[in-house]
Amino acid sequence: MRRRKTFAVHAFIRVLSITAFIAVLSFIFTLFALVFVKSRGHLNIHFLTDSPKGFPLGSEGGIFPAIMGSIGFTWVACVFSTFLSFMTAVYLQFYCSNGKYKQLMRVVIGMLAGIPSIILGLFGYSFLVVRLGFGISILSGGLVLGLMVFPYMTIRFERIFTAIADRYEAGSYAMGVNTVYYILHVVLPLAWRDMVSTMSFVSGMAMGASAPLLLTGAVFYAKAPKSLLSPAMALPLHLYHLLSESISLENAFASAAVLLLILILLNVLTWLFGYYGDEKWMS
Amino acid sequence: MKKYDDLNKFVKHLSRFVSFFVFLILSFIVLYVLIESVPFIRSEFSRSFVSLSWRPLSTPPSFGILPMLLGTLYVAIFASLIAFPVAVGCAGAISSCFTGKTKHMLLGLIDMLAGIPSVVYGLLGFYILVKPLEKTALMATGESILAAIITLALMIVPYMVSAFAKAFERTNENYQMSAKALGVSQWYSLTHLSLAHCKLDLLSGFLVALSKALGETMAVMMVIGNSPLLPKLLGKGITISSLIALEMGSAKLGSLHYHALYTAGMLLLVLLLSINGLVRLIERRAKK
Amino acid sequence: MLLKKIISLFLATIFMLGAAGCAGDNKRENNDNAIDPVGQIIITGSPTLGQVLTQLILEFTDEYGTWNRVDPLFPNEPIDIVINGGGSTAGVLAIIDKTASFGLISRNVSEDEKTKLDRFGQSQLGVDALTISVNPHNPILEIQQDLSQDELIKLFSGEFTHWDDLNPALPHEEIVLVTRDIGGGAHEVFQQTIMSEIEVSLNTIQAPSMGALVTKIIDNERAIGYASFGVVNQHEGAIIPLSVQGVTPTKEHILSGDYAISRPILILYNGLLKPQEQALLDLFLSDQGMRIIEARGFIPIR
Repeated sequence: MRRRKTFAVHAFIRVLSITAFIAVLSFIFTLFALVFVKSRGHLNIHFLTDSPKGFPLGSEGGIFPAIMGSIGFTWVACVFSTFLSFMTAVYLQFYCSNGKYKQLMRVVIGMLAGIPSIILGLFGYSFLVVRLGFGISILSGGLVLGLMVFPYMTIRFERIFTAIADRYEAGSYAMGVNTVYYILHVVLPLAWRDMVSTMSFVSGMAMGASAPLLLTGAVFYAKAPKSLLSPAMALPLHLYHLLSESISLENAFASAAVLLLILILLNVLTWLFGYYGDEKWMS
Repeated sequence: MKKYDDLNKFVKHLSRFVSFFVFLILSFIVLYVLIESVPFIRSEFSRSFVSLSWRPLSTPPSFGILPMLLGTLYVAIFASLIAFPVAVGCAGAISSCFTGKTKHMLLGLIDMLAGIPSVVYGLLGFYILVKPLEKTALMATGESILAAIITLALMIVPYMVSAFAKAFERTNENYQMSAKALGVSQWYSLTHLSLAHCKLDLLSGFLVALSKALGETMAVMMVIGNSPLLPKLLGKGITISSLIALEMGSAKLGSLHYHALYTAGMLLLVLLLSINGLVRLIERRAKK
Repeated sequence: MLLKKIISLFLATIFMLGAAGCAGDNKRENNDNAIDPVGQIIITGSPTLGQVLTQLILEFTDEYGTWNRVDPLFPNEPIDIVINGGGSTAGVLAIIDKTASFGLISRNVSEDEKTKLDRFGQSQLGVDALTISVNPHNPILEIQQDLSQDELIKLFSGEFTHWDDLNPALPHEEIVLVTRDIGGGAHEVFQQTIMSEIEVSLNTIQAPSMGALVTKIIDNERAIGYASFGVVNQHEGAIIPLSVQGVTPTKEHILSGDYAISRPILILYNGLLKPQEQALLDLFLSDQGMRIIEARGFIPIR
């Protein structure tokens, strides 16, 4: 009797798992297929290099300013976040001897990761846009995005540093070098590939985020940004406008295709650097 | 080595300053949202927060957040519940049926799914769910709680699969050899070992995905209909994050409407940070 | 090594910030003209109106490229105009907060808003109206082509839930109300002219723009909403307006005031305009501007 019961449970789990797996795989395939098929005809070199045109605006032309805007936002986010994350991870890993502080920081970082992106946008709006007077700009939007991705970057940096420390720390200090020498000549040469991989992973996150930019940086139409303080278009928000204001379903799919392509590119970069990074010091 | 000593001091102080700055930022954010909520909480209309009617521009105004709160919970919880078995199954299949390079590649594919922006999910949800649903006789409009639940479920499955696959990996590492030696099949070890052993990991993975679902703005906003009504499966609804995203642009700085939106944000923040805290507690339990 | 790179990247960012802030000053030094460069001109407000003016703005930018081609007294700087949506209310707010040069609004400025604005100017570009429109397949078109104010109130307040509540000859299907969200000019106009004290039902699809509102009605056979006259004209045939209180929404009836739900198309600005901004305003009010407004289905002011 018991045998039959466990057999039934097995069969059920087996069927469930395989169905789920097939379902997920087919979803991935459908997603990409749908996006690229629906944007066929609209996704060409002109789409990437032209400004939006047509009436209503966006039904023709391209999305060049949105691509540039997104790159601008992501670049600011990456620089800001890399600096913050690197310094924080360096301090926590190499300089901080107070266990309680370390724990507190971990809690703080975890909490930051838990803040929904729209709330970060709210904060960015009243603090950066209004209070500090940055206005709706690449700077405001980029800083908010940087805040959004910072916790993920810090955790990864810490993990990288810990893995290196396990192997090399004792030996380095035994040879009598001080911390910064260790960082510059041992950690960085080994870690830089993984760090770049993290940077591109985080850039992917920032590029796809739309909620924080709604209130702090993105506008409906602008030229490609020339300065940090100008407002700009953002790719994901352009997609949203195209769809919700019923401007063009095909162009919405084409914009989605461009977004996906950029993300695949960043993913490949992440994988490339991560892959080669691993080999170096794991041996 | 003298220059390194000076540099060391500099880096030490700089990094300490920056890490402290991070702590400041978090406190700042939480405080700012709290401070901007206070004028509404202090006002005579704060009672209306627990009502069902969101009419910020009427006289007298009413700021009932209950439909939004219920909408947020309804959509997120059901989406997570739907995604959970799918994710467990998928993660189980990947860790039981595949090894090494293929497994790595599959997990990489899932990670890429997780990286797809929410607007794209919203677009898909609109095209695959909303448009067809509209044509059926079931509901008046395609935009609905149902569409939001399915779209959100699709969105959080990759996160859960990732977390669960990692948990199953760990169990495999521990028990693989003994299980193989005893002649136990992969499926058996999955069912009886991994699932049982990883209960806490499964729970924390579920809660993490739930918190992502609660905070999600764009994908939901594009398919839910955005009417401040009590959530009904085939009806329209709204979440707190959609409310803030849609109405912040037209709320006058310093008006009651503005502060009420911040209070709604505060509510969402408290909700999410509590779940975050819960996850942390569970993870501590799991370590023991 | 990487740390140095990062530090220099960070310093570079600071420099860029400084450069961005100083950019304006530099330009002033290079010019011996009396007129200061205008930088970016930001236009915020109704997305519907933004769409109409965008073509004008794009043609203008393409034709001249730099301001000194528009008027030799203007400095040589590229024309840079930014368009933002958000609705009429966002447009008024932007003028109050001085975050935009022009606000596009499709309703009158309220008394309350006037107290918050110091020194503002407004120009009327044209007239628009809110038509009560339905999908061409809606059976109401065969049975009843007019709606009284009382019927409108009952429809939009949610008192009528199904089409046969309005008229027993209609099928028992749920009424799908489509409205603008509270930031939209149409929302206020409709509330004031038709609904007066009674609130519009919450069970509506709140569209973020008139374009979306009209598309919703085009896609859904059971939908009804207050669609902008101009946008309905842009989709002639795909959406059919009904008459209100016996008056059909035609250009004559709207201009004469017989049609109840009309609204002004206004452009709002801070009291003192820079010369380049004035040039842009003149463009909007010019014959070219009026032609485009008419071509897009609205009623130009002249």
